[in-house]
Amino acid sequence: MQIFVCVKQALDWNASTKDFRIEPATHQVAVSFARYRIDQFDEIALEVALQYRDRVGAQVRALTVGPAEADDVLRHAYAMKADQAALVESTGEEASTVELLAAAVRHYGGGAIVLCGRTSSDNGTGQTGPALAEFLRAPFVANVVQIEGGENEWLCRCETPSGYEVLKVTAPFVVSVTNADTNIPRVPAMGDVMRAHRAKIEVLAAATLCPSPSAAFAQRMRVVRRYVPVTARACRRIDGAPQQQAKALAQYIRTLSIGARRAEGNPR
Amino acid sequence: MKILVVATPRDHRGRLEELMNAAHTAARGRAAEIHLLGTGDNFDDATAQAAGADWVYRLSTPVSGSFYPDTLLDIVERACVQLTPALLFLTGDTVGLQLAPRLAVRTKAAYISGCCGVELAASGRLDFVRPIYGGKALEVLASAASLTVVTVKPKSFLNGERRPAAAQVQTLDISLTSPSGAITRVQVDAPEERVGPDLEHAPVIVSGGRGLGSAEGFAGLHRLAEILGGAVGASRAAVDAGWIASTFQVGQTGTTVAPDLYIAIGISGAVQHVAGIGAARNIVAINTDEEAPIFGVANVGVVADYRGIIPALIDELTEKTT
Repeated sequence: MQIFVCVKQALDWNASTKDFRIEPATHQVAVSFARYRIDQFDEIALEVALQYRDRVGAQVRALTVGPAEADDVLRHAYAMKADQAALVESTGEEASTVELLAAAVRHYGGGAIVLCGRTSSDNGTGQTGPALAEFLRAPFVANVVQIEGGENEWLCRCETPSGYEVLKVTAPFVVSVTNADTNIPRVPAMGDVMRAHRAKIEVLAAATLCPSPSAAFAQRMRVVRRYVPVTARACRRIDGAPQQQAKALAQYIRTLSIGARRAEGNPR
Repeated sequence: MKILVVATPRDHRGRLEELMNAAHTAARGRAAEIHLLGTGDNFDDATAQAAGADWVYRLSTPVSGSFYPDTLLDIVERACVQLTPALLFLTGDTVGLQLAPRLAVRTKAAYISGCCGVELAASGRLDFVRPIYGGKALEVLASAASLTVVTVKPKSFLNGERRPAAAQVQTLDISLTSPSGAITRVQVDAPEERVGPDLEHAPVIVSGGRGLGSAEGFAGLHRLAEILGGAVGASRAAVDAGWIASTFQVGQTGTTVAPDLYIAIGISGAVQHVAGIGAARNIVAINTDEEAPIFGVANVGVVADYRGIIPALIDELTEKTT
């Protein structure tokens, strides 16, 4: 059984946001000392796939779309013990990411399950999973935290606004993964990190993989501008001894008209 | 321009109002008609009339609250074929966020995810604003497609001028196809017991993160929330640590909270968390790390250990009120 996990390299938020700004000419983010890593929900998706493989048995293949440098994210997948990894090398000028992922899944003969993170930390559209399901003409299950079963039927444990539910699904299907205390990504062992550096990563050329792309929705719009909004929120620091801080904070809280907005029935 | 607003069975009255506000904002200054399709069996005449749309439709076979989004996808796709809108609005909750991209692929539409504003460009073109990098930045998008599917970020369109329109409710004859059978619900866990208001409607949220250090740390937060008439929230880190159930997580599964006061305790301010609290009116951050990104979005910051400050704050607040 083959399982695909779609992973993406994203700006490491915890490491590099000090001087976050957007380059007006390119609409791209500019940060000094930018660090990139596997996006958080993608890493969780990989963890869910690996847990399934470790329990039931399967081949887990990590897929990413991007420039040659994006292979770092696949080395991370190898370090977490993915079985295979493939990079769809794309400059961004070819088919859309979703279509390339769908083509890569087909290239490898299709799989029982395709996993994606719930959303990305950069664009944050959450569109990859659902759109991929559509391109693969497969059912889609959202906010999965664990997958069980196999052969003919799979059970997906999913987060809902009020708790959890379990859905029975027949393969092939696509899921988006969200976090839970059962799927915290494993920390790779040092030896596995070293091995991952030497591991073989297959490279597929976007133009060969998807020679006649359809105009996917990403190409049906354009970025007019991107900017960092000037927020009125200047943080006022309350200093002093804990007692003084608590007093000042209590005073501040009392000045707020909490609930008034709702009582008036006229928001803001 | 024809605007279609689709209310799913999950869209309660407040959500429908936000969708209609978004539609009216988009319609401003142009010849536009607003069509509203209520898909759920909870879409009654009163709801339909109060919405303020020019045309209102109900399904010949309404969908029940326990629907699975797949069913709705086929319905909305067929509504698009029948009504040929240029712009379609759906709520950006878990339902809308999984329906909209699939609908956009099927109908060859442009897709705007989590839209928080619409702007009229000088040329008369409609631009869509949405947060990126967890709300750290905004992007403005222009659509080049004949249909643009938009999911509306909850709590982004709380205001909107309405024109009174008492439309006749019509029945849209889209019969349900039998679901593919690929997905069946086999178990629903009983929801976690919650005391006090839920996160989405709470006027105050007292939220804890990794900095609390233990599950016991939430005790003081529960007490503070109780005093302030609010709800307890948590960051992903606290949930991952197993200190609190995931239903308390703020910023999870696309929820956006909009309290009057959000108190972030021991929360560093990871991107998804900050995105989830963007609509809060006032944010107080309490953290020992003065470099924590949460201070970048807070109105008031206290660099301190919560163990000292929370009991003292509880004393201060109860002293004066009792």
